[in-house]
Amino acid sequence: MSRTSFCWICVGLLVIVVGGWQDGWKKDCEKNHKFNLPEFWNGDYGWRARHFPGGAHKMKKTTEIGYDSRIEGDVVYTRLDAALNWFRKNSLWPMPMGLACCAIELMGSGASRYDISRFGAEVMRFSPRQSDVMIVAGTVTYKMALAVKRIYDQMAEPKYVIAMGACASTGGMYRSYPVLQGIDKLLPVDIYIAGCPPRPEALLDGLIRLQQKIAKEPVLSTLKVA
Amino acid sequence: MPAEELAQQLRGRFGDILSEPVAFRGELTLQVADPERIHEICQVAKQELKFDYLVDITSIDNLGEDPRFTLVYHLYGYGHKSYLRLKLAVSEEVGQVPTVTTVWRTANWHEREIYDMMGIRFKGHPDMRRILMWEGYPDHPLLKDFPLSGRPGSVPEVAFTEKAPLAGGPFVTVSGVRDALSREPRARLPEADSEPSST
Repeated sequence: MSRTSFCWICVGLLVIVVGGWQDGWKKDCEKNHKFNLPEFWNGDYGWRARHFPGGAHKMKKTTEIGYDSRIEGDVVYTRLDAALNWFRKNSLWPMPMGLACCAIELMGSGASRYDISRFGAEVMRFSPRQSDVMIVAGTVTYKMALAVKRIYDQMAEPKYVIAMGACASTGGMYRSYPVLQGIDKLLPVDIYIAGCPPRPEALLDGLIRLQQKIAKEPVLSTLKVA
Repeated sequence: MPAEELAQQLRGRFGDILSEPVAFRGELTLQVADPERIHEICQVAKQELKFDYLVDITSIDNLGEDPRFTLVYHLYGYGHKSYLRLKLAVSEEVGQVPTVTTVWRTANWHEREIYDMMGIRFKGHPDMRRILMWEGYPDHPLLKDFPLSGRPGSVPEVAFTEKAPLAGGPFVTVSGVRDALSREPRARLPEADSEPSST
């Protein structure tokens, strides 16, 4: 009894290999001779025409869906937390709480010589609802402290506070009855800046340190799930 | 018209309550005996003697003396370019004088400041509120017996205050000494304060 048996996997592989060799053979021949395969190979009939209506030899090798590296550059892989913090720290819109002479330095920081916009913080928002960081620049009296607190409460999360200068940090030289001895008695301060008043470089340094602080913050784990 | 002549004209109208003018460095001061008539005197000074500008009203706390307070009115006339100063003594028990806002409208804020800082009230003032400290603040901080560092916890729910740490201060500069070393800020001794600071 003769029994012919095939390993169907091997047969399948053979077909693929032969087909590939045939493709290569065709290409090599086309380089040297003008050579046309018979019509049944590339013609507009048969299973190739049915399955590849544009013609098998005209089919595009790649399909562009969504991201195009030639237009948009390389892909950056990162954590979502890091990306969100990156967005946040590079567009800190300040609420300029200018209360005394520190506000003059704050204005100087915003002008072209020191140019706070290099760090994305040039958009001084006089509305607390549009601002991210409150720069308390100057002496906070008890009377003004009520207004400062009220404005801070109106700011949207996430919000940060920079105590700019000696007065906002500790009360400074005003050791007397009307002056709040440091805005940290009322608000959670992120960055203290020394100076009376601090130079614009010191404010920019404080801003960069705030950016570094923001870059390390957890974001997603702090979000509440409804 | 010199200030001396104007002062004498004013004395001619109110001779019974105005003292002899005292000159000091070219400026004249009249002491007013009856604080209740200050409005009347000011009316005449403005309408007839053309003192059209009220420079300032200040108050002095002479703690330990009676009467305790002194109010000082600085008058000036743009036409005759003369100054005149009126002083009146106000006792702590009375604690109020008639307003002069009906004579000079600028007196409004001056009088509010005096009320805020020293607690002297002004009868007939249109808006007798505090001007510097917040509404509801209980003290009058420019009184001599008020501590510089403030009093803690003045108004619960409205605002909080704590005593300011004086850190050995208040620091004062000594004037009239020769070298800078002894002129530099010095801590005033704590026993000079009526209420010693906590630090």
